[in-house]
Amino acid sequence: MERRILPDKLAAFLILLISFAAIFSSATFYILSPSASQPFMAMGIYSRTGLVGYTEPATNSNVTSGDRLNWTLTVTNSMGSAQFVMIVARIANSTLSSSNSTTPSSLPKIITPELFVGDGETSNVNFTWTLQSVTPQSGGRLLLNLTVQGNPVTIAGDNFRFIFELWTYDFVCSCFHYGYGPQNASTGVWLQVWFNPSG
Amino acid sequence: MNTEHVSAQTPITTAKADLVAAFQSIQTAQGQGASNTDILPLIAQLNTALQYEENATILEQQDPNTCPGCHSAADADAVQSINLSTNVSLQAQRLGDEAQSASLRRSALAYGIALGTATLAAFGVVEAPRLRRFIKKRQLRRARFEHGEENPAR
Repeated sequence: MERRILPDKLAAFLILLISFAAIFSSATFYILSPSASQPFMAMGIYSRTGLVGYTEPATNSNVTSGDRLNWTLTVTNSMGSAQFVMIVARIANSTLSSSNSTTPSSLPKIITPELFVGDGETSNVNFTWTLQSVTPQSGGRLLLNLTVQGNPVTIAGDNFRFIFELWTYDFVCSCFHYGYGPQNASTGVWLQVWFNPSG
Repeated sequence: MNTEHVSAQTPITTAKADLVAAFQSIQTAQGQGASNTDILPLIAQLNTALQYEENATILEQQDPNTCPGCHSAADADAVQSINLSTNVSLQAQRLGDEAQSASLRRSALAYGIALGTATLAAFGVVEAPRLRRFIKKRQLRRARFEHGEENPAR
């Protein structure tokens, strides 16, 4: 009788050991695993002078020639790792198309500042521009001469705006691509600021 | 920094490549579990290296006739950038290795505790009847002893 009890006990012990080990190992795995989070990147803009008009037509964005404007772009990284970021600044009028959530704008780049942003960090980029001159043209159109971060820029038309796009570095192509996340499924980040130029 | 593939190795192209390599080391270190507190100073250093590299690129584009010292200044800035990037790479690798071994130790300890607890729990369940019998026997013995002490005439 005693001989039979021992193997039965051993079998019960082994079954229990495996069961408990599975339960406790699962709990340990759950505790050690990093909590799930939605990675994202965001971009914003502000101005100490209060001159930032998101709406169209620009209501709070009258700029007269000779005005020097200091804007600050902010980039927030919540991707879970550091990011190498490039901000592409463009200027557009009412006839030129904007960026969207998947495709960047095809307008020429004015400046492309680059920076490294740590995870959970918000970094600032200064954006200084001056409206040098405004020349009226036929049909209510205007010819603008601007200086953006020291670079001369000329644009004609109406309903002017700056477009800012966020690009991130991709090791696969060794290049910057529009938005964040993998290049083939990236999420576009962009914003635009309208302004009313006057002579 | 534009990411054009340039074959000729100048200090500026080396600086650009080293910046990307340092950034990759930081991402690897974070993947290995390096803490954000340790990584943020490296990001600041890498941004300084990027500024040196951008400055070097601007200086190199200057006309040597109007700015004779610009090219040597560009090389000096590129070398500064390379030194900073190399330093960041090395520190990131060290942080990554430390974080990985710490993570391994933590995992081994946690799973060891889990396995030990499982063994104790299984043993406890199997040996529970014996333990119950043992406790009962002790209680009985104590009761007899106390009973005997109270009634010594018996």
